[in-house]
Amino acid sequence: MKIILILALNIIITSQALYAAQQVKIIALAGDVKIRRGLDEHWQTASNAVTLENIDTILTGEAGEVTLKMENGDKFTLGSNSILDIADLREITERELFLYLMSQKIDKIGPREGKTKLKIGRVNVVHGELKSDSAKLNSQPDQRTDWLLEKNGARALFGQNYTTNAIFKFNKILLKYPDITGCGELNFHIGQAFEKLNKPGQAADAYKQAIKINSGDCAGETSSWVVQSEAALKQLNQ
Amino acid sequence: MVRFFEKKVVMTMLVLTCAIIMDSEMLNAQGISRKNGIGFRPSFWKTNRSEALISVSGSRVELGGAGTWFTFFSRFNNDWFYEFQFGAFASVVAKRVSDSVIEDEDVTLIIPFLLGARYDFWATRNQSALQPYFSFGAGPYWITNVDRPGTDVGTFTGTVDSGMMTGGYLGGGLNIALTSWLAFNFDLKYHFVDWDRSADYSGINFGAGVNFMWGQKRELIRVVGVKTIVSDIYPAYYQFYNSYPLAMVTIKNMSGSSIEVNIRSNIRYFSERPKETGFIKIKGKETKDIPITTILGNKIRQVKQRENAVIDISVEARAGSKVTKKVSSLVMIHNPNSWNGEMDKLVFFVKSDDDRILNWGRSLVNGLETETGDFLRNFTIAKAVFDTLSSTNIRYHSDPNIPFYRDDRVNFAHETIDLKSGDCDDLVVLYASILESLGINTAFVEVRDPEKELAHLFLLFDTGLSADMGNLISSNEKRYLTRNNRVGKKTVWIPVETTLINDGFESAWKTGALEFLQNTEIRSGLAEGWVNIIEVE
Repeated sequence: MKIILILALNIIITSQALYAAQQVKIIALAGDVKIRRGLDEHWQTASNAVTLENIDTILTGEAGEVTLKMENGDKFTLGSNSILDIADLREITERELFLYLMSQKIDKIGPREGKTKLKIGRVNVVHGELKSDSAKLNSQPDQRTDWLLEKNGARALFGQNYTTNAIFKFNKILLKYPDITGCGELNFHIGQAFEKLNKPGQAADAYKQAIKINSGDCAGETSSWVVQSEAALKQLNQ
Repeated sequence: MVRFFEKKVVMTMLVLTCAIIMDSEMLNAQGISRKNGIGFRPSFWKTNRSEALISVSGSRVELGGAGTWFTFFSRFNNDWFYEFQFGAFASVVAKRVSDSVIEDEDVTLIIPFLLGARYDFWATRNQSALQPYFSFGAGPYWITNVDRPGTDVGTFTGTVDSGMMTGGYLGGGLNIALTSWLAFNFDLKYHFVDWDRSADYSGINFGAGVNFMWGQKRELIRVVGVKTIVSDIYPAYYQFYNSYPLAMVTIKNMSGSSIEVNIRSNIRYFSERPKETGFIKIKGKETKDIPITTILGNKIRQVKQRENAVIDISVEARAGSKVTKKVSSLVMIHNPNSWNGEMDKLVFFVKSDDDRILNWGRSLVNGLETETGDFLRNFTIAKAVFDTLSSTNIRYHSDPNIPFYRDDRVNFAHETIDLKSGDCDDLVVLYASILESLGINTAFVEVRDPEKELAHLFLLFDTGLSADMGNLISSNEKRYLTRNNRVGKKTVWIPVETTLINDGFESAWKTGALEFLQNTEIRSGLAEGWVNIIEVE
């Protein structure tokens, strides 16, 4: 019985994996390139002609670069200091993209607040506060690095005309790292991608968001993103 | 003495009449409440040929017209009645010259047979016992005229004319309903005999009498329909029905004024007590849908096999009088382990306060080396619980096939432990019950893959770690997800495929994570709506 059950589950899981199977092949690589299989904990060094599946992830280091070949023959190049899930190269239709964006908006609405709120005045002692803070502080540098790697991956998607995929990815990064604004960089890229999709309304919203972010955390910084967003918005309005 | 007695009788009659009228407003609001009636009404009829109604001048006597009406009426629509009337009226003009000679003696007898309609125009607009109406009709008038010029009393020389004319009437009146079966009646009509207003026998007729009524009472409310919303009751989540409507009762106020309606519902044998909606106002002629709920108690959990039960619905309307209507409906009571497949209802099977589950979980945790403030406490406990369940040889086993039964069977956590087996929902309920009893939040993931026939279910539990601390559990973020917990804080959650109960936590976690990754991240199941996450609260 146990064997039958395991076999059945394996069939289900394998069939799920095959359903959206997006096999890609490494056809060229240079420098530090690593891959991670599915849910593995560890990275392994990539090599030429290795086939990757949609649950796998690819990472490039300083001066690393890898070229992938899709099932349909298209090629995709990932530059240095980037991370990309192979699933991000799957075909994402505009319908899927907007469904995703809408579901994110709905999630942001949150549950309705009750009439009576439990209010806690002052809390003088919070057990475990120190530990928690230290753990958070330790995670900050890693988060910044991860954000940078993922952003570069998303930019690679945008640069190679995976426009819907890029918007999908930029939004996921925004959601995943709410504390890292990037001074509006991601929103600027989202605006550009929407312009490419001929969606001026959404593009304008993204540019406005980029300008808004810039005037917040990044006020005072000399950021090109705000200048570029304002210029793009001006051009859109014309 | 006699005069005092008469006065007392008159006063008593007056008081009684007033009391009856006042009481009739309570008993008999909305006008003539019965369907049929007969009436008797003495009346005067002043025809055009009479100079006066009653006149006595010297030796000349003139009686313009007097007689009585007998009527029968019957309601054919809310405020409309047919009425059939016939009567007999006589008018006399005579002048006595001497004891033996009468000059110009003229006697007329009118016998009308009339069919008409009456409209109680105020009946649905007030609640009073005073009900005005107007009426109209037509029919034959049988007229006999005896004309005797001056002659001796003992001899008859003159002419007798007799014939039938048609005509009609138009008029109105007032009924004072004393009880539902008795009313005073005042009536005024103009009769157009020979369809000529100025014809000899045309004229005003007025009188007062009584009406006796019988038959079906007038409808104050109508139960237009009872729409069953819940035809199947599942004892596992019986509390749900205390606030969720079982049925929608549609009620129409048939009267013209506002009434108040209270609906009492009761499931025979299973309700703790009847549930009342409280009095709800319904405007005149308005139709309203009123949802009804019920109060179910523990008794419903004693059902061994599914069985039918009767919902008694009693509608009580209040508008001066009280009217009660009763309707019934059937529901199916399922057995306590039945589940209709709605994922949000599966959470009702998670009983984190079950003593056996509490003790089971606590004895396990007491043996673990976890400290308060340990970031991985939830994760460690959840892992230990799963691995302990694995070691107890609980196995995956599909539900029994019950012919013609579409519902699923779900075991409560202690039942799965006793049976040492369960299908995916049983195992999810078991694991969730234990974790919840230990204070670890859980959620169900329902996958209704459009490409597959069967739905699947697995579990998420909250590690309590903030979203940026996932790396304490795994360096591969595909093995967990971040989502808001019950207090709105973004935390790390672990997916677990509970059917892999025999393979240990690591395998169940990996499989659960892969399922989540494939269905939600790669195939956008959450955005497309075929993957749902349901909080166990």
